[in-house]
Amino acid sequence: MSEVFAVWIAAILTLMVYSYLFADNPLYRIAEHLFVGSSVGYAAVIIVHTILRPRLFEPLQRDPASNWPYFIPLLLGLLLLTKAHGSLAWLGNTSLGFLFGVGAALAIGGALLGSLLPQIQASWVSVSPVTAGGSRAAVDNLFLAVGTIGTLAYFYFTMGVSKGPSRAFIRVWAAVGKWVMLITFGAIFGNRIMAYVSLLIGRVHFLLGDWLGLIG
Amino acid sequence: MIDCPHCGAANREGSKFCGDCGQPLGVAGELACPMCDTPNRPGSTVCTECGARLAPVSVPLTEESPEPLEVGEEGLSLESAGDEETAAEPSEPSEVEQPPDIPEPLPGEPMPPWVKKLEGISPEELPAEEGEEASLAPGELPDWLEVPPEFEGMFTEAAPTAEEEIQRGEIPSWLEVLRPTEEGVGEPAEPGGPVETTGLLKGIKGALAVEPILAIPRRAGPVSPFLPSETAIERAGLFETILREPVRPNAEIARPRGRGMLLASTIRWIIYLIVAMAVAVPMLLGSNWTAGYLRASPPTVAFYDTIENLAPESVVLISHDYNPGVAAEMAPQVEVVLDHLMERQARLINVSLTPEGPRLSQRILDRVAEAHGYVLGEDYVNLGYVVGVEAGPRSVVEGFVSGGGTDFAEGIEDIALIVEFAGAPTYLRLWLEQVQGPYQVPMVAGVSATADPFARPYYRNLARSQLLGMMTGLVGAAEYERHSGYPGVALASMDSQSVVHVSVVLLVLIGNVAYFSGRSKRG
Amino acid sequence: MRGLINALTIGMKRTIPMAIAIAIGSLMLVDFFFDETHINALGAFFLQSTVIVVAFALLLGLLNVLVVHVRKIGKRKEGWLYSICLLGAAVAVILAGIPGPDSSVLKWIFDNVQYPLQATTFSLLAFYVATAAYRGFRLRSLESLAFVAAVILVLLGQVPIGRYLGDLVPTAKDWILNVPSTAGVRGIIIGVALGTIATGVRVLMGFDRPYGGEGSETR
Repeated sequence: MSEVFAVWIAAILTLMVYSYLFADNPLYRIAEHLFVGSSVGYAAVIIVHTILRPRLFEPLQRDPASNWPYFIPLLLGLLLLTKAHGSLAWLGNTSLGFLFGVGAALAIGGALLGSLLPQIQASWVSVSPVTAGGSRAAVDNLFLAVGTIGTLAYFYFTMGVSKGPSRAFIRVWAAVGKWVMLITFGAIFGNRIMAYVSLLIGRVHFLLGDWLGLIG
Repeated sequence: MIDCPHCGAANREGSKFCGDCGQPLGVAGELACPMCDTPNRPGSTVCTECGARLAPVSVPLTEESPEPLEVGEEGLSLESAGDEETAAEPSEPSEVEQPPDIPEPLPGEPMPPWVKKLEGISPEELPAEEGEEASLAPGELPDWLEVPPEFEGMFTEAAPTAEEEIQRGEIPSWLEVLRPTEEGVGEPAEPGGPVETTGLLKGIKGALAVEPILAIPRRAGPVSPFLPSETAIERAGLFETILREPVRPNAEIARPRGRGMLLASTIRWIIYLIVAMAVAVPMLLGSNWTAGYLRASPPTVAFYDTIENLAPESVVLISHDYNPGVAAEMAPQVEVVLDHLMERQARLINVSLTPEGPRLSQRILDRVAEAHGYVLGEDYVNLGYVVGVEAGPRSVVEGFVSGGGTDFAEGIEDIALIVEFAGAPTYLRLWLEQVQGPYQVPMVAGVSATADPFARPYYRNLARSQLLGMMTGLVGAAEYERHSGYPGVALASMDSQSVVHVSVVLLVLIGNVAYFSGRSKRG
Repeated sequence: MRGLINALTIGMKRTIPMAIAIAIGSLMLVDFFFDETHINALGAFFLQSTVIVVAFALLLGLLNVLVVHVRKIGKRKEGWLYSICLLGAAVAVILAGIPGPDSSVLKWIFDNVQYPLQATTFSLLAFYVATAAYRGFRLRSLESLAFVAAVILVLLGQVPIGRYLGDLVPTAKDWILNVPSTAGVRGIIIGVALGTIATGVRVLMGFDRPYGGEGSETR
């Protein structure tokens, strides 16, 4: 496989996708379908070879007697495949029960220990300005705490509190939250633009550099 | 034994016709099926022979119904806004409320084939949507038994009985005006002739006396000329004018036509061109002007310092959680960090939560390892793809205990640092929640710019360290390159990035100027 | 006999999945918070099993995509020619991957077909985001001013040219990202974490049964 051929294939496929800028057209459609097909095939290959083979098939082949516990995930996995056919789908419920049980447990533990408690701690401790290290930092910390509470109030409020508009207290906090969210969304969007521009730079670098050789 | 009502002869049970006179052996009050003519016992909704419905589904009439006509004393009588057909079934007002159900066959009677089919299917076996279970809540009907929404109202209201007040349709005043005068309608005269005393037509007069009807035709009474009132004439005239007007669309759709469309697509093309030029021109010129203004931001410096402070031979777990879509941002980050790590002589365990991660990381690893003389298997390993959402990161960590793929570490405590490259916030969150939180391992992260806002709260946790350092996008990689003194592809792209950013800001401002000046022109 | 089979069937559909979800889930929860050798060993085994079963689930999903397109071709639905491209690519990659993920053909296809296609698809967004910036950010109210100001400051502050315009720009960007944006996202994180915990508890207590069967009703 000569290098030039490979680069040309990559360049042609790249241009086929960029043709979408003109309009939706068959070249673009072909390119997208090739992409989906290729990624489906690639993911399948990777899953079978790097997960199922070393973790399941090889232990079972090597020593089925002492590795007997591995038959359990094998069975669960095969039962799960029955979900493909409508009338047999109920066989896979056990596997799904297993997955949801483990998933729920891990999600609870993780959310609690990794997000909820640390983030609440982060908002709480920073409220005391004296230990924050300077008035500037103290103001920032206060802003952080107020902003976090405001955001929570904003979502709580917009979810339709029964006491609703008559509770001015929550309304004030929700207003604070609204302004915080506006700036947050602005920051998120600005970062997004930055990310997409970087991606474009990558492709243009390939087209101009690797393909056309205009860049040193 | 059944006695024939016509001739009185005795007949066998189950006979339908009298053996002597040939008349149908009807039982009083019997219902004849409209489809197969089988007499059914009174009170049944469905025919026992063929299963057709005996009590028709009634549809409520609208309010503006014509004046009720009286046909006769008995039999059918049409009442406005009433259930016209249910009057024929006075004994079953409640039948219409029930949804159609599978008819129960009389014992001994054969079931119609279509009923047999229905019986065989239990609700669970009905084909479910892909991926969904057809589970029914109590009181919920399966799809195929569901009443169509048009008829829903019927089954919830009680059908009015003959005694209940049935609202006569309110005839609007303008229609009243047009009502023909009473004498104009020829009312059918009381039919003459003998009253029937036997059989089905019992009590009806004039039903069978054909000759008198044919011989003496009914004459309609004299019709007085129809004189509409003045208001009626006026309104009729207005009505005619409305009808005569040509059809005209209601509102002009405010979509630019012709010139407007051309302008919009031209603007679109200009914007595309601006973006493309902003990226390409600095690249082609090879300019590196903005690099002078680049300062590494505090999160990037913290990232750098964390790695700089690693003891030699520390075991570092690196997770490559990105795909080719964001590789343009992540690859420069990975390269510069791997470079630094190998310089610090760290031992690297590489994993990935995406299928493409292993290949993408291996490409970079091969390149950098060769420069540092790292040997695969001795100095670094690539454990490949791990799935399982939450279970993935955890299984990597717990897998060390059972020697999962590597002997670099025997447990999480052997890991000095986790370096996470996250293309999306999800992957970062998974590692933070499943490994960093519970095990309190030091962790730094390089993220795509889209994930930066979602990573900051973890970095800016002054109470408890979650992320010790953070690197954002291609710009972060450039900062790192600058800070560590190894300029690379990221730093070279900063000019393009800067020019595009400035262009976008200008586009926002120009867009607003154009919009508001356009408005003031029109307004 | 029939009753026994009936009971088994209902059991497989409803009771056993729920029992497994609650039992194994509870074990994993304990394993998460506490350190005890036997539970740890069981927990590690179940983690490994989860990875394997999820791998099967992913394979199922991939198979589903292929089946959908095979059907499309079979029934000659609209766009079935494109489905042939898709299936062709998938089959080619799978065949190339039979010897293993290190096969050179597979690597070539990934590097020169999949990578360029996926990278370019995402890079298209840069153009659309620019047109959105031109058309969408109308300064009609104070709220939109706050939003657009944040976008502009972040855009200018993130690149070196911002510093050229003035030291204030990157400082403002740092403040925006570190204070209000962090506060907002922190609120979101806390809210999402609460929701996750609530849903997880519901599943572990049997109130929510997303794994099928007959839902939470009794029959």
